[in-house]
Amino acid sequence: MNTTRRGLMAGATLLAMPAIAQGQKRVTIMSHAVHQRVVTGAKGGDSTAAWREKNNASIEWLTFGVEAVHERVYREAALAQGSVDVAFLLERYGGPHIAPLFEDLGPLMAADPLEAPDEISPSMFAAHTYRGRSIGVPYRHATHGFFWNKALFEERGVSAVPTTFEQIAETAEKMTFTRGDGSRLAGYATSMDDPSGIMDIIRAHGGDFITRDYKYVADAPEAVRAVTLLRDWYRKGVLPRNMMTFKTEEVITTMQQGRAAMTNQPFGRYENYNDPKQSKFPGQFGVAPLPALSTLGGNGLVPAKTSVWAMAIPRNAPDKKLSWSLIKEISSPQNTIRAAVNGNGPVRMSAYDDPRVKELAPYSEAERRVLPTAMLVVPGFEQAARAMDIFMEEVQKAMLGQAEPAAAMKAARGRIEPLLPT
Amino acid sequence: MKRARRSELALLAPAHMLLLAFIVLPAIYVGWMSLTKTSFEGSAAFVGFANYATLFGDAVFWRAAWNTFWVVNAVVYGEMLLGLGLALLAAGWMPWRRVLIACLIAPYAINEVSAVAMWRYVLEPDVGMVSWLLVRIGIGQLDWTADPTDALTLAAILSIWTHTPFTFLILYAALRAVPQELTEAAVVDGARGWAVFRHVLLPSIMPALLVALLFRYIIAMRIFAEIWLLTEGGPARLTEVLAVYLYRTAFRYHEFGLASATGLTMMLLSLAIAAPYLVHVYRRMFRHA
Amino acid sequence: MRRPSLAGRVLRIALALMAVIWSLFPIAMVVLASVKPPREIFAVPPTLVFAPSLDSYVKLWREWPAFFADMRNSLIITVGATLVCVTVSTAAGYVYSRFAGKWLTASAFAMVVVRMLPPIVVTLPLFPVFSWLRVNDTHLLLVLLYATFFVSLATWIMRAFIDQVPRELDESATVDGATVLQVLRHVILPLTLNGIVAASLFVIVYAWNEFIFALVFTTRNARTTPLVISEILSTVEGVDWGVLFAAATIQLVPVLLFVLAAQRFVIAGLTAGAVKG
Repeated sequence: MNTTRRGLMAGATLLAMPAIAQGQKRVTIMSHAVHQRVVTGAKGGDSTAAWREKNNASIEWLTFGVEAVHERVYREAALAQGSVDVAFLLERYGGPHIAPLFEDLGPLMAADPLEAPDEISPSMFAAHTYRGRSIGVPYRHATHGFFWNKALFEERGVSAVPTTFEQIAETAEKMTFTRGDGSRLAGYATSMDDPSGIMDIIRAHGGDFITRDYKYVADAPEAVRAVTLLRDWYRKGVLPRNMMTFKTEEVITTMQQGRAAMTNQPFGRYENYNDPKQSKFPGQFGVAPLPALSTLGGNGLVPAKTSVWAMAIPRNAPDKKLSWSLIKEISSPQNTIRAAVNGNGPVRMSAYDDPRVKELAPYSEAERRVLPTAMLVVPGFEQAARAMDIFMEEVQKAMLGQAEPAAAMKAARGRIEPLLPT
Repeated sequence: MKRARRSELALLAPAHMLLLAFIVLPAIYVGWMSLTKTSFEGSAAFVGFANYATLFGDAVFWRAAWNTFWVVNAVVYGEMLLGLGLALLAAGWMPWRRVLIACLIAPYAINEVSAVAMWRYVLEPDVGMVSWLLVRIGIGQLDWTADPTDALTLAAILSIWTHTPFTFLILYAALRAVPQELTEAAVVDGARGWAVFRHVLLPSIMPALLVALLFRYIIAMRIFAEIWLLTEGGPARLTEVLAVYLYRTAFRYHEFGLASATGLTMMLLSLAIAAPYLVHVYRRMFRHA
Repeated sequence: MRRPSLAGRVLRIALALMAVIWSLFPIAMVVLASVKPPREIFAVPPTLVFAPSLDSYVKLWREWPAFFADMRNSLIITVGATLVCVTVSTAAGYVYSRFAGKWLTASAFAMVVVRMLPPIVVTLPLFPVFSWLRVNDTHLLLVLLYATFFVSLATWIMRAFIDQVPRELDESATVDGATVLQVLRHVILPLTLNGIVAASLFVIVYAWNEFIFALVFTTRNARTTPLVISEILSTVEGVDWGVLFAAATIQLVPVLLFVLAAQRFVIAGLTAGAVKG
């Protein structure tokens, strides 16, 4: 078998003919496109330029959609021989079962510490730590704010920006209309590929999906009320007719094209929405913390959905020292500021004090305000991906009218409870 | 016929080695995997038929099986009728026959991903030009992003569109072996034509028709990219087919045991569909042997 | 041939036109959209007259350089798979055409049975094995996989074509002292070129367009064009339709030309009875 293996490998090498040339090292980062944008963006500058120079390396970014990037990274990290140096991971696609695929960063951190690691909240590190194995350095938090299109508001004669969720609901209905030329406008849009979009709406009603101590609570009256609202919105056309297929990518296009008036999305999307090159409404998007139902009390804000992207090193990465030095570089306080200017949600609080960030990322004050109370979509566990899919399946059933919201949420309990850790 | 010597038999080896290495052994291994619980760490624990119990207890699996069933039937028979009609048309009187045939088989060259992009482009709700036209003339658009039935219908149309050239080619080739006057009569001569078609043409192209039908059944069962790239099986996993179910189980939930059980089920289903044909081939081959 | 009545002819041509529209409309619209100015791609109502623009192609070149690198991968893999498949199938087809015997029949039957298994199923066990062999994301892997899945059909086609080559020819060559391989090369091969084109057509189209294996087994080094197209189809800043269509157009042109050029060999081959068995 060994000779066949060697033969095959030789043949493979011959055929593979990698494009490596000029003695330059090639480093591969696998991530979502947004990371490439905030790491290398022109506005704040390229965080990797100095590092590439110093190490005589070129960086290749392989970018995919949110779900696809995890699918790919895990598959890649499971191989005997890997080619990915750094991977970006989102906590809700993680879990103890994938932890062995990645390098334990503890020893690396001890030997060659990050710059000012205390600035990064321990809870963000915790989101990427499984059974004591820390696999990711937090890089980006995607914390949701509430966006609206001022131009469309004006067109419809809406002057007040909603400050309670009741007002959002009212405005959403008002903003749902058909223009003279037949083009239709939806009042609200959000993503449906996983619960991160609708979580805000459920929490605005005081509900939740899975609590930190792994209890399923989405069949409580608050969450059911939120799902009922979603169903009613969908029926009335407040939500776009094709929203069932929306991933975050489609929400962006819809908002940029002005086909919907409001959404809840990461604060950093402010850049995409107001970008004259991509958006039909540059400079017309406002953003604020998402307000909750006024009857809930408290500070009146929804505990915003957040998620934490972290940089990890696949177990099979070819040169882990090199990977680590790149991670350190990208995560440095200076580069955190650069990325924040490019639209990243900075994990270091000091970035919010930087004058450039204040000037170029005008939403950062609002973002900073909601950060202390922000919540993950679900706490990480092995079957989280499946539980989220089941949940979305039942929510969509309710929205399509195939089941009553209360019944659907109850059905979800029956299917999700067996998956929860005890 | 002669018996082959060893040196001649050796000529068969490469072909069979490929099949053995990449299809037969993996298929056997899938059988074993379906009896274990495996994940990334690579340790496989024997669990007996637990994966099958999970699989057959999962409503989503049955939904996927049902969707596969009806999409496959719609595709295979839709394509058969269309392919036969086109073959009759092309085999009869036709100026620029070559050009017509070239046009008809063009979709065969299109990859599934581009095909999805093409059909999405013309059928995108509200903005696609065919959607626009359909609304304009009052038919109403195909609501494939929201309505599971419409989504599956679009997937079926797509599949028919890409694969009709295959069926068409086989039937056209078969028709060419029949005297052209008969083909001609079947198309033009009304009642007599029908009789000619029914009693002369159909029987003579029947073997080809069955082969085309079978191959399309087998291949249609694998339908994946059409659904995956249109809806990923949504909304509410209502448009999933077996291959999508398998892919999701394996590469999203990382449950390779359960995915293998799905795979083996698909395999047995394919063989069951093919069984009558295989028996037929077997008989004929061994009769000649 | 008898010419049908006028009404018959008009009906025929009308039906043929409809069929052509059905086949070509989506392709034509996409090719057309690839040279539209990007803003007009989704104009409602659709614009039919416009100043052609190569913006989308330029953008594809600038933003997706990987597409052109992957084009090379697709080419290498397609050529490789076709060579492997046709070579082994010609050899096997020759044996099945010239010799008989119980075991031979059984093995031919096995080839048909194996063809029935869905490709996606073998991705599961092959994944860890390929990983262990360290051949993931190599051209070789896809070459062999693609060749394998068309070996059965290609063997069938080659056998049908070789059947038409008079047996006396290779027998007399054998008498003259030629080995089996020499017979194959110098007698059979030149007389079955049509068959080789027909068999190649299926492999070429499959290898050039295949999606699932490429999705599962490649990441970068051996990534093929359908995969890049699927990535363009789901980019974060919203689908860039112009770029997508430019990529789709470039990807389809070579294989479409080949299919159109090779179709008559395929029809000849199928008529010869390749698929009747």
